[in-house]
Amino acid sequence: MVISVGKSYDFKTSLRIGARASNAVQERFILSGWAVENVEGLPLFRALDIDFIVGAPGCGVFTVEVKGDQSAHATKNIYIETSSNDSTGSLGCLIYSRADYIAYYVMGAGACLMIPRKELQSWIARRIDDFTSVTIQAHATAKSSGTPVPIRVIKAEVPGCYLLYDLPVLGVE
Amino acid sequence: MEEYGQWLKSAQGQVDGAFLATENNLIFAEYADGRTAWRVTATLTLPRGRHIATLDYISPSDTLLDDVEAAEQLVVRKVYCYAGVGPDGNPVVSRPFAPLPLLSYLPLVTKEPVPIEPIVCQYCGMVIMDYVGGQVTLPASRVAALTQEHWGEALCYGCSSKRSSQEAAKSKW
Repeated sequence: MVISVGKSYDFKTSLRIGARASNAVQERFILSGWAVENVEGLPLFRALDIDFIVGAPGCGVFTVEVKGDQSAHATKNIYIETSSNDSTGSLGCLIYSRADYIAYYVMGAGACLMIPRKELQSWIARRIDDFTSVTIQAHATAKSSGTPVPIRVIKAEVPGCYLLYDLPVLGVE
Repeated sequence: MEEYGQWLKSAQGQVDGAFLATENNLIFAEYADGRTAWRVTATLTLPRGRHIATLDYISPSDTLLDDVEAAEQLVVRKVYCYAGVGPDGNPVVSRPFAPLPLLSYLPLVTKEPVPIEPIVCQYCGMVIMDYVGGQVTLPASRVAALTQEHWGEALCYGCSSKRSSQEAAKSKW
C-alpha cells in the first residue's frame, strides 16, 4: 500500500495511515453485506498490488487496492504517483496495480473514492500531461514523482467513480 | 469461537436502553419489548480500540437465554454490532443493527469472464483452480487473467506466488 502525502513521513507513520485506511474501507464493505478477504500478505496479490478480494453471493467478485491519503482532505487533490521511487524507477501504485478498484481513502473527511482501475489508467494516459508534475520526499530515503489532480476532476471524468462515506459510530467510540 | 470471548466477556451493562450480557460468544440483550440473543461469528479490529462483530440472530425466546446449546442450533439472520471502550473507560457493545443495503452496482463494471475450456497453468501444466480464501473465492479465470495481464502468462496461484517471491528476492539484489 502506498501513501501519497505532501511531506515526508517515517515508515511507522506510513504503516499506521495505511492500516487505518485499510480498516475503514474493510469496515464499510462488511457493513454493506460484502464478504471481504484480506490478501495483503500473500505473494501473488502483493505483486499485483491487491489488498482485498470482495464478493457477495450472486453479485460477483472484485478486487480492491486501498490507498490512504492524509493530505487530500486539505488539498482536495488526489496524488497520482507515476514513480514511487525515482532512484529505482519503480512505478507508482495507481499505474502498477491490477486491482479492479482503487479505494482512495481521504483521511479526515471519512470518505473513500472508489475508482475503477482500468478506467483510471486510461484516463491517466490521456490526461496526465494536462496537469503539473511534482517531485516529493515520500519517505526519508526515497523521492517520488507524480501529479496532483483535483478530486472533482477525477470524479467527473473517470467513468464509474463514486464516493463511499464512513458510517457514524453507533454507540461506541 | 474462543478467540472472540476476551472482549465480550467484560463488555456488558446498560447500553442504548438495553441490558447486554455476554457469555460463550453469545450476546444477550433485554429491551423494554423483550429479550434477544445473538452469536458472534467474526470480528474485525478497528482504530481506537474498537471492534466490529458479525452476529447471527438466534431467537427472541426467553427459554433460549438459559440454554446456550439450543441457542447455537438456531441461526436466523446476520446482524452487526460495534464493541469497544466507552467514554468512562469501560467496555461497551452497541445495540446490534441490520446490514446496510448491498452496494449491488459495484461489480457491474467487473463482470466475470466465463471460461469455455479449463484454464491450464503455462508453467506447471496443471488446470488452474480457484483461489479459495477464508471468506471469498476468486474464480480461476480471474487469477489467470490477472497473471496474464501482469506477466504475460496465465499461471496458477502456486506458480504465480513462487514467481512473485522470486522477483521480490531478485529486486533486493
